Amino acid sequence: MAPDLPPHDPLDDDADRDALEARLRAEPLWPLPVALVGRVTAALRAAGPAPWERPASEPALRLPRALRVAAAAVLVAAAGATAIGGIEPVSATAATVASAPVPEAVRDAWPVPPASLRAVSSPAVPTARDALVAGADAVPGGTGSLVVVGALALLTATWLGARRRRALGGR
Amino acid sequence: MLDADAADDARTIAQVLAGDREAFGALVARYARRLHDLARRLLGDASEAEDAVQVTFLHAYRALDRFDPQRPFRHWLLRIATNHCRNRWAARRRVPKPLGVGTDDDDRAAVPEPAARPPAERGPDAERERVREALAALPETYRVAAVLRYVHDLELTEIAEVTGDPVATVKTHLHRARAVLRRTLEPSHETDAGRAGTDG
Repeated sequence: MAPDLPPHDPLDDDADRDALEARLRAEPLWPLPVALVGRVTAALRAAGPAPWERPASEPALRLPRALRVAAAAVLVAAAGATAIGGIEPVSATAATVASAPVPEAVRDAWPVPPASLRAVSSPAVPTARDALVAGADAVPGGTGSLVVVGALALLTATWLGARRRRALGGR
Repeated sequence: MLDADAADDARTIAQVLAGDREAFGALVARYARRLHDLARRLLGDASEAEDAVQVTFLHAYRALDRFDPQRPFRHWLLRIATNHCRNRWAARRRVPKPLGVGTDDDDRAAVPEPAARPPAERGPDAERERVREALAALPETYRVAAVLRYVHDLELTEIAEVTGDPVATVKTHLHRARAVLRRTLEPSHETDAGRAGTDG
């Protein structure tokens, strides 16, 4: 920005100024090229619809990348928590059902599962899932902390990926 | 601008926003000459000026819903055109010049010095030609202010609105523009240069 001038400038306060301004004001506009208006109108017709012309039903969800990444991480964390949290009650219910006394008539009506399946599903034999849950419980904070760490890892990986893409000139 | 024109602009814009795309043609027809003149003087190139007019109208059309109807449409268009010309200046500065060609003041040197030619070669429109060339030889920021003030007849506040500068800055630019123009157009300068041209 140019510095302000003093309010009264004797150099710019003479009769020359009026004469100069009169000369400048007499300057006519450049003539308009004959085809220009037609060309502009044609370009407007050929142009796609302006943003305000697009139908309102068109999806227009535009979130910043950071928000999208955060939303994805929250979704992953929620899904992980639901999955891990969901396994516990399901397995507990299954164990309750398995240990409950079954009426004789019902037990006789059910087909007997093969011995191999019975051996695998026996709660007495530790399964791979049991080992996983035991391992997760050994971590400070339990499965909850694993979910949080996973979400953070996802966030970090996305952020690093975005930085890398930007460094390579992509979008 | 007359109030009638402003009211007419507002009606036309409402019509366009209501879905009548063809109505925008009336605005193009009304303002194309002014925009072309501004771009021609700021860019100093006929082809670039035509492109600038086209870009300005396309941009205005796309952003028409953001136009404030309380303000004159003409000033809004002039502002878009001025910003486009500034971008073109910046783009020109970014393009490296070949060695030995051009100077730092290339944008003003695009037009030859007004009185560099002998009077005999200037013809009957010499005065008009001299003023036009003197305006074209002004530095960019002064040129914007001078063209808007004297050719397009805008008030200081209107120029400030178009350029985005404070009114005090516009005053300063105009003052400096007048000082340069006075030197360029003064009779002694003309006579000396004319004599030099005749002698050479």
